[in-house]
Amino acid sequence: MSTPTRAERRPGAAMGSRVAGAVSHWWFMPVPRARIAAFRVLVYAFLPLDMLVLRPWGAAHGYVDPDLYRPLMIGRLLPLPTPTPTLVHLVQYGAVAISVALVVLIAGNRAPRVQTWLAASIFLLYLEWMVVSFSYGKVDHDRFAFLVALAVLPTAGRAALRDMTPSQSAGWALRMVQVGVVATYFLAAVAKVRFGGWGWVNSTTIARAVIRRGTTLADPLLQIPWTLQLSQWFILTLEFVSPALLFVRPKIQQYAVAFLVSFHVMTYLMIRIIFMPHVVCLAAFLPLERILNRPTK
Amino acid sequence: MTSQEAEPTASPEVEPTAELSTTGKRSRLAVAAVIFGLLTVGAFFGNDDYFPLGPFRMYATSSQATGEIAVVALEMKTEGSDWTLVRPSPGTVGMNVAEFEGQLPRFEEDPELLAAVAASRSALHPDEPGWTDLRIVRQATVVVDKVPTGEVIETVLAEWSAPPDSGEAGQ
Repeated sequence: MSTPTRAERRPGAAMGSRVAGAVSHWWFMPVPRARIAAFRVLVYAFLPLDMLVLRPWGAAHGYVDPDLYRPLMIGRLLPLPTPTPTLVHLVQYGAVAISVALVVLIAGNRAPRVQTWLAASIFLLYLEWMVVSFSYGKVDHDRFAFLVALAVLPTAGRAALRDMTPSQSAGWALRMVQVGVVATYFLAAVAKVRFGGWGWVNSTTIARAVIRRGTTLADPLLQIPWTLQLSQWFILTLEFVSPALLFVRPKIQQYAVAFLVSFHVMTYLMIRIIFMPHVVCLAAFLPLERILNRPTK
Repeated sequence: MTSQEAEPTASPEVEPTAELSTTGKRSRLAVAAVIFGLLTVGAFFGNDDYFPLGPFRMYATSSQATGEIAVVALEMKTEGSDWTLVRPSPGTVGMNVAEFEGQLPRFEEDPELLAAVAASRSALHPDEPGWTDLRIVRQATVVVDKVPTGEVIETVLAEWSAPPDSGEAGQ
């Protein structure tokens, strides 16, 4: 209505509002509620697997002598207690039990408000679990996107597995996870250049990983060093171009996710390292609602 | 065109979009800006202490084509035994190799800290004999022009013995 006249007075304003509109459109692109519901099931079903089977080590930290506890900044600021056996098991089994309850509630489409509170408490428990896990000399970098997912999933409102209503809050939550995934790749490349220098691509970092934890599949490659060097060029390039994933068409995103998953599986077969929470978050790029709902033509 | 207030298309099959309020959108954009802004700052200037907003430095360091590739291990004694190799893990001492490497400067500066490792061992395995002596060794694989030669050099980095009067390690 009054917009054209304002734009005439201030030529930059029209451009500015168009950019703001595009940014808003991108962040709040609606997705079916069924998609966020399916993603929730995936994340909360994975969490017990992560805390009990894949990375249960935080629990052992409850028994480690307090002299070896070196709390992260977040643990010092809050300030979080020094881990004890009681604390670690409370956090571990508490988060697991709540996750199981939550999956049941989502599947049955019951008590949406309770779901929100349970989801929020899981985020807090998992964050504490991270502090317990990473305050003894080593921080892992495979779960930033997963933490983002746990933080934003409670904000997406009620969602049922068969509810195809497009939702902007669901769109934003999945977008946050997508950006978290891409940020992990891109900033991992930044870290390589920052700490290893541009010479990282020609260094023996992967050879070192193979010597330390290589499999029979990878060990022969030690004798053919150029293969490992080539893989380092490949990894750095892949990480630097990863932001494109956020802006390509959905079909291409799905192919890219399939490719990335096979890359992570291959890495696992070579050096027994797989960033499982991160791999789970790659599903934020997929039309998960189609598992239970036929696409309407 | 970009107005979020626009009426949803009146198509019978497509359900109307559940839209966010302006406040809902602004607060979400602010959250995104803060999280990813801090993460970017952490990636360029931070360290592991900033978790979860620190740099993603998995396999980020460069190793030389010729030199050593080292891993740390533990060697321990119980009453009357010889030195026995122990791989640090959550099951053996509650901490893994990478965690020992992360705290290595502390152990080198103050080998008495190994008493805490022996105490952790006793807490995890109360029914087994306590450790009376403990040392951290560095096992270096020699690499020449990116190919390991097979030679492994061992160095003791820190060593500790339980005080004779205490009788056993830990409390």
